[in-house]
Amino acid sequence: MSDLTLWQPDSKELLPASAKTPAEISNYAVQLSGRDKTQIVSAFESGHYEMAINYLWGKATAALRKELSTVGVGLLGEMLGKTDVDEHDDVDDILTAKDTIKLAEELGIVSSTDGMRLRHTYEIITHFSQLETSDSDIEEIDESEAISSLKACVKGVLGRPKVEVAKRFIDFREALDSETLSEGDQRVEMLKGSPYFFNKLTISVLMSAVKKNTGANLDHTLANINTLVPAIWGNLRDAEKWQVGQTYAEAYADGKSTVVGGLKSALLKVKGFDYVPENLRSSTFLKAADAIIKAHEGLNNFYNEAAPVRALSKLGSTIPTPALPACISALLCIVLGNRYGVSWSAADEAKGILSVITNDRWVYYFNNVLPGDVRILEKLSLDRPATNWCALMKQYQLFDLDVKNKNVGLLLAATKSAELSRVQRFASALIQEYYGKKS
Amino acid sequence: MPTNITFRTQLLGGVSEFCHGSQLPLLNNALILVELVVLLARYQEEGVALAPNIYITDNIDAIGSMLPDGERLKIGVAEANEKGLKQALKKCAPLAAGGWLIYIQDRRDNIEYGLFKGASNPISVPVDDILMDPELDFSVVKAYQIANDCVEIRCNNESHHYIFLNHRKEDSPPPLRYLDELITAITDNSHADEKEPTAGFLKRLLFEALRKSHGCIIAVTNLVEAPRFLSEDGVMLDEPINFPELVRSFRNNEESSSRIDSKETLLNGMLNSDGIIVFNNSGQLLGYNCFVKTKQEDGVVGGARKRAFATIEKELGRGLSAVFMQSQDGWSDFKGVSQ
Repeated sequence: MSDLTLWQPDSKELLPASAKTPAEISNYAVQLSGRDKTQIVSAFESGHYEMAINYLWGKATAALRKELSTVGVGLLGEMLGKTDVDEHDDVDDILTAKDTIKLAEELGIVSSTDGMRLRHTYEIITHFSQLETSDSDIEEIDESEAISSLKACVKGVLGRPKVEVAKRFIDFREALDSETLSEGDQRVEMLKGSPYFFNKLTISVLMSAVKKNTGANLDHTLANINTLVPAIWGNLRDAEKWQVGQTYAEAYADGKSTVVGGLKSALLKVKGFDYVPENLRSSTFLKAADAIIKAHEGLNNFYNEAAPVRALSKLGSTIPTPALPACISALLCIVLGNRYGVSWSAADEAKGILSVITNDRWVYYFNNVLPGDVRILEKLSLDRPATNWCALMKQYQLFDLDVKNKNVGLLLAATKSAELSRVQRFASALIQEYYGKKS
Repeated sequence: MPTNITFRTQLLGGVSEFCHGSQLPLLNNALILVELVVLLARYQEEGVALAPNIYITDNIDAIGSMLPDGERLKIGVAEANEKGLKQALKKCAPLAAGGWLIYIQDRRDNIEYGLFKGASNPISVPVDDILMDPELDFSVVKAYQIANDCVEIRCNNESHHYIFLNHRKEDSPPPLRYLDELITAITDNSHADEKEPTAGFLKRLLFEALRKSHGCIIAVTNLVEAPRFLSEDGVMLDEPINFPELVRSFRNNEESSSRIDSKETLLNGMLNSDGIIVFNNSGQLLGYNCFVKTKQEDGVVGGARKRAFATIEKELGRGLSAVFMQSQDGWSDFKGVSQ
């Protein structure tokens, strides 16, 4: 049952190892027209690797976004945790390149290995496009990097004639507010046996749906909450349980009697009222954490991060438990930074907030949040953030805590000895555990 | 030797099944509930009439966790008998106003009493919508004086009685019997997002206002403006009080709660004025102090209010979608086009 997942990435070989030259590789890019292939090969032959890769990248991301858009922009927004996205938004406006690759991985369009290669291609393109003019005259993409990028794009995206995107999960998502699932429904059983990612996503989808839906759709959603929440409650981590409680508290404050009635019934079934926040102070912290993430993942992040971090620090030193996962995750994003470094002023402020977090709250984060905190785990695959992680953990001496998750324990042990390669290996293992992938 | 005949004896038989069904140890002795009902029917402290809401439960902690942003104030502990109940009521009733409710926690050997409230937020879901639910795994019994000499007792297992301590006929509708129908008519055409919070807010507001009112008539029109026969002799507001819009702007943090709360005072004043209050079915209060010409030949027996009700009732479907009336003694009637 543990192997039963709602979807699995297509593992079919799309690019044989024998294809080595640009012409041979691009021959397998079935999503490219003959003219596109000729132009790419011609650019390679002329040594214009940067131009070729940029052109190729544009084609690959456009193809990925097009495929992703077939699942519905609303679902993509839900998966990214963006509550302000709906079906009227343009997929090109809401998805950054990183988001596109992440969603493609989560929906099974690309395997995690191909996702890693695509991310690497994106890093190369970003790096060279941001060089000063004088530097870009000296440094350029070399042939091997360009061919690796070409392979990544063809193998991961352009070599697929048509991808059936996580169809079973999309059908399941649609069913969540268009039909009432019974307890014995096979899809409920499938969800129980699915990787944690799907449990978490299902909770996000349901909680988002009760805020938006009305009429019959709301009735279906509430009925499904009463079937699915009890079915997976035992597997849920505290962060998701708090999410259900938080939604109840918000609906209660907004006077939404029908939603409150449905959520109350589900919470009574699982005896989950301990997860209803005592007040809505946590909502303010959640919004502040969201603002930090938006600044961190947006343009000019080093400049824009300081203000939202300062705003969070002004809310008070005690972060309410329901907002703890989002706040620690956002602050870690600032302190760990990205491949290019950190925003010093924002990082100092963020460290100031993190420094007063007690050990029992760190234990809570390591046990309940980090195993699903993909944003942080992915950062640990990069050298600079991983180094910052080790320094932070050493500064706060967070090595000898009572951590229950085996891979988190191993990750902290590797952190203690500052072995970056092991830190990255266990972070990767946690990501695989979260998604349930084996590739 | 003459034998006393009292309401008490009659009442004891009437509530014993209710008490048994509540599964609260305190109410194993049905006399305790009888005592509470009699106390509440005309409750006064220092000459001031009070109408506190009392909730008897065996799990006040669970109630607290179901009411986010709520508050609780423990006052004391007393014996689990009639004396203890009286003590709890005496200490708490003067404080039970402005959303504060009395709780009595049944701890078998004794009772803990105090006050609690739901969120201060004026549009939050009414407390009874949360607590009067048979799915709860604990018991809640509510007792409340709904009008002079009339006490409502309600249990979360859905058993529910109005107890009249006067000579009212058994089949007469209880006070505020039609409040839900009136609220539904007023909010019928409001936007789906605002319908429930507006209904909750108006219910809370009208419940208290009607209880204190000396009687009133409320007409609901399905037109944007009040029909001519009402507007020609009445005060029509240039800018109607738009309750769904107030709820929307409060929810979006565009307005403070005081802006929405302040309308309670206005509505109380209107309900205490003579004449008819006019709402439209989009939740807007259009005017008050409206009068209609009544005809003697209608054959209606009663006062001016009853005759006015009979007159405008005939306009249902011709500009009016519902009419509600409450007399001075709490008697009420309702007519709606969809009824």
